[in-house]
Amino acid sequence: MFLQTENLTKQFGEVQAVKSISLGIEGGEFVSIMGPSGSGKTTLLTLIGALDTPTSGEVFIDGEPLSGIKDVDAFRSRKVGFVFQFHNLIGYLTALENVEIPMHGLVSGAERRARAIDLLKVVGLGERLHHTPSQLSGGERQRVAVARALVNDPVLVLADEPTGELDSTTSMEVIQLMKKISKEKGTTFIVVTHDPEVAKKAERIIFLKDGTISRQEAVKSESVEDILALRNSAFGAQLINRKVTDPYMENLGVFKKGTLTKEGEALLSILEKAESVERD
Amino acid sequence: MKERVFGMTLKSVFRRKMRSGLTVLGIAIGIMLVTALLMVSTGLEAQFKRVIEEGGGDFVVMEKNAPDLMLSRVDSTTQQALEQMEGISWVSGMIFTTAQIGDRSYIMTFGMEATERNLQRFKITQGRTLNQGDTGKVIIGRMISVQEGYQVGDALKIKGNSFDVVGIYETGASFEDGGVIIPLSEVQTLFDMKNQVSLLRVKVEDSNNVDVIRDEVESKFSRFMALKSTEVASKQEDLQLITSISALISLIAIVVGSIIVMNTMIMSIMERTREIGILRAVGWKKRKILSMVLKESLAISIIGGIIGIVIAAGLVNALAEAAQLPVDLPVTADLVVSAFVIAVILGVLGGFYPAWRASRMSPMEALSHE
Repeated sequence: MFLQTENLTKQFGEVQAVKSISLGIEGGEFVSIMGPSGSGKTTLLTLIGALDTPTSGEVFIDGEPLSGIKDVDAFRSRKVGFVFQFHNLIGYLTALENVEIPMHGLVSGAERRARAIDLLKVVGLGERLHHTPSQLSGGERQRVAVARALVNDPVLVLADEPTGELDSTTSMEVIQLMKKISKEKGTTFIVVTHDPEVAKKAERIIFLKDGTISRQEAVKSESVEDILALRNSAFGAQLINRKVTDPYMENLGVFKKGTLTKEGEALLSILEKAESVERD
Repeated sequence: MKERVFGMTLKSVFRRKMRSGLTVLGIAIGIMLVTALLMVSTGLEAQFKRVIEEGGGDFVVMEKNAPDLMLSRVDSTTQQALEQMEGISWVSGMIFTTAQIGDRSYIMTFGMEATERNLQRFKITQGRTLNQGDTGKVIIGRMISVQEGYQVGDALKIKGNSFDVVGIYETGASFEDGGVIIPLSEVQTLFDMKNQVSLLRVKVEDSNNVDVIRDEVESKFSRFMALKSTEVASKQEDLQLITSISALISLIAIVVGSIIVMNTMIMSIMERTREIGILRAVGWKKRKILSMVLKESLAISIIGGIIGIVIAAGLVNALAEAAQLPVDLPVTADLVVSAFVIAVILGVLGGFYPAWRASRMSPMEALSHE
């Protein structure tokens, strides 16, 4: 397991924001966390990202406990990338300079610049390098933030409401971009969101309520969803009931003289399997 | 890499143009004052040194309690007694005073013997120098000649007496080029200083004995002090006053400037709390935040300092010229370094507390700041 939390608890005065959460996330997994306001989503994220320390419990990354890390700043800059919702970028710096920030003091100026340009191209902003955040659209700003989060090649990216201020189309674009990067680089993503459509793009949704995990749900793949839709269609009903009502089915070669052909049986077996096949 | 970091500092500083501009202006005014006063005090000091030093001589004897060289009186019996002392090679007396000449008051007036060694470095550009036995003759500096249009052959009225201009000299020091030289005996009559001079310059036979002989002179003549040329300026009360005032103003400028910088930087970091949170979140260390804020306050104070130095240099000389003051107020490297150091001190003092505060912000709290 790449990331594990063990009885992770965070107390703010009287309030227990995170209550004894034990969780495991595989390397390269794309996970979303959902839950009502005050359910501890952001707190959990900040504990995992070493932005805050737990009251009790432990976070392990690659088997190493965070509490044992001496230089948490260096850990954050090298291993973790962050994407936040609001005022994510520094307003008086250009897109390029914003992306360079996490590399200050780690690599030379020329390399910093080259890497930032490469990443901005990856997120589709190769033409907007020298624009300041106010000259970029909301979606473009979040792309810059994604590029910035990735610039030191982190093993883990934590995104707190990354699409909170975006319209649904732009939200999907940003989340697809993150998924693409996750897949290509094998980076683990944890995305906190309110938006069920965004959450569904993850491989797994963790639901939080009152500081604890209320349930977890593997997201069905889009193909499975499509097959399920097919099963519920008139086409699927005829296959499942082994009863042809539409002569066109005979034309397709699914039925012959009222009974399922070999091809028809194969299709039926896919439809029957689809529901039980889930990715985890 | 340095250049890019510096670029970020300047961008951040001038994000709020008006506020940073006003802060820079405040610092510039402070540093301008400090520089101007330093220019005046070091300029005057250098001129004193020059007059005393360049005529030769190992030390100067002047009246102990005189607040100013011009008010010092040394009588001729002391001169004679010194000339008799063992180990002393020569003693020469000079008068420093000011007189009204034509419409101008306070023209530097030097009384010197025609044989005075000091006179040899006054380069005659027109006419001749003073000769022994000259009476009613004066040689004048180039500056006063130009400013007042006096030529060789003109007659000047000094304290009701008429003097013929026999020569025009130039030394390059405004203090001297803006004055006139009259034979010593005539200045003594004119200014009621019979058998008196402002100071005596003393040359010792063996330069190893200078300190011994100075001590001897001071113990023998308790009314007088024997000073090296470098010490003369520090014994001038008015010059001391200028120096003390400039020190005090410098101190006030540092305190006020630091407060201005501190106020600006505190406002700046408060506004940028979230930015600091982001920087901390992406892994910037506390000391990097500290140095970022310090760099910004230093940038403000250094820019202000440079502007202040430039304005002071231009303004002081323009004013001196407009007022036709016979003083050289050069902007020396020492002076620029001093003013610059003051600007840096002010930046560090004003920036340190905000920088420390910024570096102490927890990334979590800073990030949740709206």
